[in-house]
Amino acid sequence: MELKKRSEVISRLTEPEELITLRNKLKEKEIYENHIRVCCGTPCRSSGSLNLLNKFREEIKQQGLNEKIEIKQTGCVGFCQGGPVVVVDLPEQKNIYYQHVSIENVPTIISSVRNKEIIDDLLYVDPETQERIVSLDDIPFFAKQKRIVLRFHGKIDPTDITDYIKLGGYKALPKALLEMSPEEIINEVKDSNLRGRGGAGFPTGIKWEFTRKAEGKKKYIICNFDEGDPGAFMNRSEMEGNPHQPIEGMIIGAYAIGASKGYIYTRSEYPLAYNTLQNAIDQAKSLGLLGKNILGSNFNFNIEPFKSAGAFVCGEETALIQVIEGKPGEPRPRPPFPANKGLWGKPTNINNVGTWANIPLIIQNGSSWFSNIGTNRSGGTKVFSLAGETKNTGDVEVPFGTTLREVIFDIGGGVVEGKFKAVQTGGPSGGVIPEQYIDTPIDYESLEGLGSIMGSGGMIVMSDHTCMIDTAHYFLEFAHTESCGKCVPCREGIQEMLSILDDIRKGKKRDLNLLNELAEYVKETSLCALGQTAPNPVLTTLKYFKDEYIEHMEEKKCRAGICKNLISFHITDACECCGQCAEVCPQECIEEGEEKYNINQEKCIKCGLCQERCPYDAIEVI
Amino acid sequence: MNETILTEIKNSDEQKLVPLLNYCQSKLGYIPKEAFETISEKINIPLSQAYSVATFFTDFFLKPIGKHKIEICNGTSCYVRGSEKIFDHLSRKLNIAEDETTEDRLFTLKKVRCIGCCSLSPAMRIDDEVYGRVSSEKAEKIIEKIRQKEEKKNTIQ
Repeated sequence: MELKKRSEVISRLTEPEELITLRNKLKEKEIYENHIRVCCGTPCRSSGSLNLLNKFREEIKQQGLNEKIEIKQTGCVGFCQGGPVVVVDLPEQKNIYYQHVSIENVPTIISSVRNKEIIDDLLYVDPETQERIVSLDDIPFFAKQKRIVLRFHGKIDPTDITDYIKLGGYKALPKALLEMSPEEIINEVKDSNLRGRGGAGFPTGIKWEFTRKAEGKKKYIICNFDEGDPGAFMNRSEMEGNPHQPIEGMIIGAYAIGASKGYIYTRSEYPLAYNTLQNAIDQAKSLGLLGKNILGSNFNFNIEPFKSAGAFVCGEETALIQVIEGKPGEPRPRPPFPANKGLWGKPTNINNVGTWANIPLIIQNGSSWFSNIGTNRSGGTKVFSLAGETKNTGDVEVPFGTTLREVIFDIGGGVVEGKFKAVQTGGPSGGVIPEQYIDTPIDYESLEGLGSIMGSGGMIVMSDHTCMIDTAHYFLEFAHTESCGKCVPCREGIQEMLSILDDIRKGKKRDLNLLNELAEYVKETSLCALGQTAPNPVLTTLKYFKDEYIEHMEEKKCRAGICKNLISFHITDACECCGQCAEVCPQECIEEGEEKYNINQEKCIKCGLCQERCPYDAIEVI
Repeated sequence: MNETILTEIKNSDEQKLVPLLNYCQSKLGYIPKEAFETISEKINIPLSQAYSVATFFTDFFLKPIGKHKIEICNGTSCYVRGSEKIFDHLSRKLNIAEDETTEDRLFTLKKVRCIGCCSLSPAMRIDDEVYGRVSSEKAEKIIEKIRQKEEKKNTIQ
């Protein structure tokens, strides 16, 4: 990584007509009939997509097909467990979806493109109908989504600004800068019913208006890309897949608010997204879409990416501001709100990546188009990160009002193994929602009514293999580590709750009323949202799964088989005496018996390696 | 090496603390005492402020780390799918606890929340490489491979 990086200079656009001319030229230059797109988002990279991409390039060059087939890297296509994913366009058939593609498949795919054929073996098979599905758009995971924020995901090369422009990106920008006044833009955003995608759901237009009206010449905007929820990846995916959409939204927002400088606050855990973003900013600058007199509008605006270094609390807007200012990320009391006194004491407007990414859509298509999607109270769609124990995992974009069941079962395909138990939304600030509420339409208010929150979009599906006390402990431990320690309720209260949960995990009796009382107290009296929401996982598990708490304490039993002090590993009669368990056991505590192997319980450390290894499923947890 | 980086920091246009700390760490793998002094002098803040910011974050190391940084993702999805077991296994195998470095200075073991690879959980990252759907055994094999590569390098040299 270099401190400052400059990309190649593309000719600067000085007025809207030049942008239109560029788009038309790019479309005219489009010579390819066939396209191969390799998903190169973080998950597909972990499955080897970069090697695939190189192999495709090599083969295409070798076979002299450079002018026949376009090979392109894209950001997250969104259906991660099929990775590495390759999407092919033929003249007659678009979006052919190939999954689990290996290096060996590359020549076959290339010849299939030449012969205009489809390779059945690489297609997605619907687990219910056993039918092979050709087009990505027909796979239930995608078919039931409404992808507007993710409209170009998997279609464009995120490292090339011209790809975004070619498909219609940066169309909203000239409209906003040259045809609309700042007030008109703010009204449009207000009318759209867009609410903050970071989790709190504050109406975006109203937030903008506060900063617009705040006194002061110098104003800032910030894009919150801290994505601290340890189970959410939609912002990463949004940035890796199409960084220009939030950037376009930021330029429009800055103009409406009257800001001349913007920051994108990113996290160090996402190196690929950071590089993609940095590159996108450089390209936007060299095209004149950032900088002075943008598209001849007399409006000046610049964006600087800011990389943080791993702290959950920095997703809180005042903490985030402190860090940019060079101080520890401790939240400060509000008021004054950042809209009046934010970064370096100046009026500052902060929105989440997802919020900014919606702005070009609203300006381009109008507020009523946007508000017609979703519910009366929340316009548009929400992108969720669907993960945990669900069959299908990845980015899911659905209109507000879609039910949890539709997301988890219709799109997610239900749980991998066992029975659905709960869904966790909102990360460490959210709660678990049990099966009886699975038909709840997703909305800020409805999830809050269940004791959880919308949050930034993390959605972790849990099966009966998940222990609810352990889950509450996990989130609380997270909050405990991440608490900045500034206010007493959060610092001490969470510590105390954690020790109670730890005891319960071990089967010790503790007063559940005290736990509940502590949780309520921390919720009411903490300084910032971290402490105010940290008790939610405890409160919801206590509310919906109290029987599990009692079972741990009274019966010394963990029904999910997770809490180490309450479980033991046993070898069943299904044992075939292959001895692999003994081979892998770090304690050397598995010995061959007469008909099966046996575990010496006194020496067993419950690491689970034997169970992982056993080919006969003969090791059970009691 | 340190001297060059310190000069680069001194001459950089950057005036904000965290980017300077990040830069130093990206080059050296950690932030030495001299870097704190250079940075605080450069941007005119008390040394204590630079130190308090660096220790506030989990990502900054104040001591040199191993050649390879192993990050076991402990995000919710990874946790639900058994990441703790993987961490414990590697910790036992490498004989180091969280944030510690092996004696041969090859590996530093870290928990991270999270690397955003939830859809392929449990996941881990070694240096810049992300691995999805790992198990204890798979993780061990990956590390063993890296160790063998390093040993090979050493014998050639």
